[in-house]
Amino acid sequence: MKMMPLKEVLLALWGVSCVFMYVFDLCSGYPEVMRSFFTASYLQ
Amino acid sequence: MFFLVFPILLLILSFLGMGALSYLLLRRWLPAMPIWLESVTVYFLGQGIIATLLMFLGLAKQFSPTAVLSALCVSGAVGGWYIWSVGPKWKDLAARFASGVKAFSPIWKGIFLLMVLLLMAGGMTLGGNVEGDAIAYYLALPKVIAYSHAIVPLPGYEHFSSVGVLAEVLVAALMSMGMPNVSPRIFSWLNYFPALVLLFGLAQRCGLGNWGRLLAVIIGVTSSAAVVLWGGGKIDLYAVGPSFAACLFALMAWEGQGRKPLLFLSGFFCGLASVFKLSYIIPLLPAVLLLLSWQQLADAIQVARGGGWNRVGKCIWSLFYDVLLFGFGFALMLVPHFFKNLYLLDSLLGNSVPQTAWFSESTTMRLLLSYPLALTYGRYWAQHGTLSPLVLAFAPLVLLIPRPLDWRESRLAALSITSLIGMAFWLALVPSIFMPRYYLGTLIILGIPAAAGAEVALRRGGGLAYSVLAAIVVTMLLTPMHVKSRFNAFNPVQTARYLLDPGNTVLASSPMPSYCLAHLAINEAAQDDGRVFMFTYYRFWLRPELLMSISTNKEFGEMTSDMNTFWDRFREAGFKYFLADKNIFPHSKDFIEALPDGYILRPLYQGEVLSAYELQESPS
Repeated sequence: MKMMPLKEVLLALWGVSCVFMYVFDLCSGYPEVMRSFFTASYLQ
Repeated sequence: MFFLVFPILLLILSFLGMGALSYLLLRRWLPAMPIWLESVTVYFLGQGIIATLLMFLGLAKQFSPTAVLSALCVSGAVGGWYIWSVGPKWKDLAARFASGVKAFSPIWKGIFLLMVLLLMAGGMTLGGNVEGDAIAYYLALPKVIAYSHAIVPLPGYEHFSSVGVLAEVLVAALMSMGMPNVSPRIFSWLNYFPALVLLFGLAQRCGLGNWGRLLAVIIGVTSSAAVVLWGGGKIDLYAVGPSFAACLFALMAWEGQGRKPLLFLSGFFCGLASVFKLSYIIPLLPAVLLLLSWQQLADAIQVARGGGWNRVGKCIWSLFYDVLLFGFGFALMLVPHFFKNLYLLDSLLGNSVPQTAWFSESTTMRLLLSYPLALTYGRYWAQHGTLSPLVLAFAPLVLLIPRPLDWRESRLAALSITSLIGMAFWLALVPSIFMPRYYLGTLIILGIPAAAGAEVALRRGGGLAYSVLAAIVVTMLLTPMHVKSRFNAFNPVQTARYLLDPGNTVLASSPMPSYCLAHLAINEAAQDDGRVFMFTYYRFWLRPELLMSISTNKEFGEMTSDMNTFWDRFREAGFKYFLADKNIFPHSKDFIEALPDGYILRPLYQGEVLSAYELQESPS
């Protein structure tokens, strides 16, 4: 079986993790530390 | 139902009619365009001209239903002729498009179907939530325009009236033709379709194939920053289509044929986008200017390297001439806007300096450092939606695109780099304003290089191609849930109920039925000439004559500065009703408690947040 080049593996991993984070954002298990990193209220 | 469909149909026909007439003037100098591109160009051209004409009608205090209907009917009749004349071409195109879709592989058929379903779901935003800002301003101003037959500064938002009002004027025209309560908001969704066609055209012009073009459109449909605005009632989305058109015509001008009218059109659409949403000027204007002068700048740099300074001067002179043509089109849209400001506010730019520090310095720094991620995962104050995660996921795939042999000729490189420079302008000038909708056109354009990279990965096949396909499918499936987690935009049940009973005001007031009930209570009690003092921003459901006489900014500032004299001034200024918002103005309670002897505040409606009162003399 032909192996994927490392560059393509890294690109696929990046893309999949971006979408995984997007899915994870919808779940209640999303770590609070991540949520607070991407959140701020007015003038905070 | 008639009043939900007819006004929108007539407005679209009038855009096509006015656009076709203007296009006829330019057609002989323009290069041949495919019918789909010609039709959307005609549509947006007509939209800009009709909106400007209606604005002048409003400034002349002639915005009556008869005048609006007459103007739109004349233009709409020409629009009917245009549709009739291009109908056969569209029929051919539809047949070719259908056979093209039939040739798709099953997975691409599925992706295409998902995209169509997602777009169609936009109809369900008719029963979805209305944005707070729409209830405060963006739908309230059109209601006043439609009632008073004139464009006037909205009391309480006098300073804000210096922003462009073209979109509000179009909404006012829909209201004037009988569209009930908040339903004109749905036009924002319909208006997004031609914008997506332009995005498709822009991707094509950059050399993307069928998959890449479709992916660019999917990025436009899976960006929740756009989806939450489909039926939210705000007007930000109106600027997206013209911003795509501005970039597209700047790129088309590279070909040489019809350069002058193309530069003029690019300027016209850049101006239209900027008047629809003033914030677009910051990222879009520099991006489009650089895009149209990309080749001359490249030539000038090359010549300067060789020391041919005389020829550099020649390059700069030809650039100056191009910018002049672009500026003419740009000014054609901007000058009426400045005229409106001069007429209404006695000032070209308005009297208020907009606040640009919306977050603390440390938060702004965090935002800047996390920028591409924050655009996709951010949940900042007033942000609403995000950019499609596909842009972030596919961005590194640009590494797979073969390096252009000649950067001067690479449209994709030019569009990507100039859009990035446009974004850099935004980050440098107003880093603390983090609202993707303020520069959404430029953001979505940045999805084109990402889509180009993904297309290369798909053509290579293998594991990377499968991960790209998986990312597309998962993102599309989750977009409605992602949107719902931020804003309840889609509501099929409420939409069905609303379609059966479009005149039901309370039904169309989600998520603020209590606000609506407070306004309706005042409407019922205020049969005389009493004014309403506003301790809230939200006002849409008040009767239009009450909306026109509510407390002004000046009155609010002066009267609330001294609690002891507040109620005396309240009566002297002719106020009789009092709307108090416990959340936004918690100190309104103190004013109620400071009511002098001899008077009572009769509760008309008491909700959890908003309460309405009537001032009466005490019976004793």
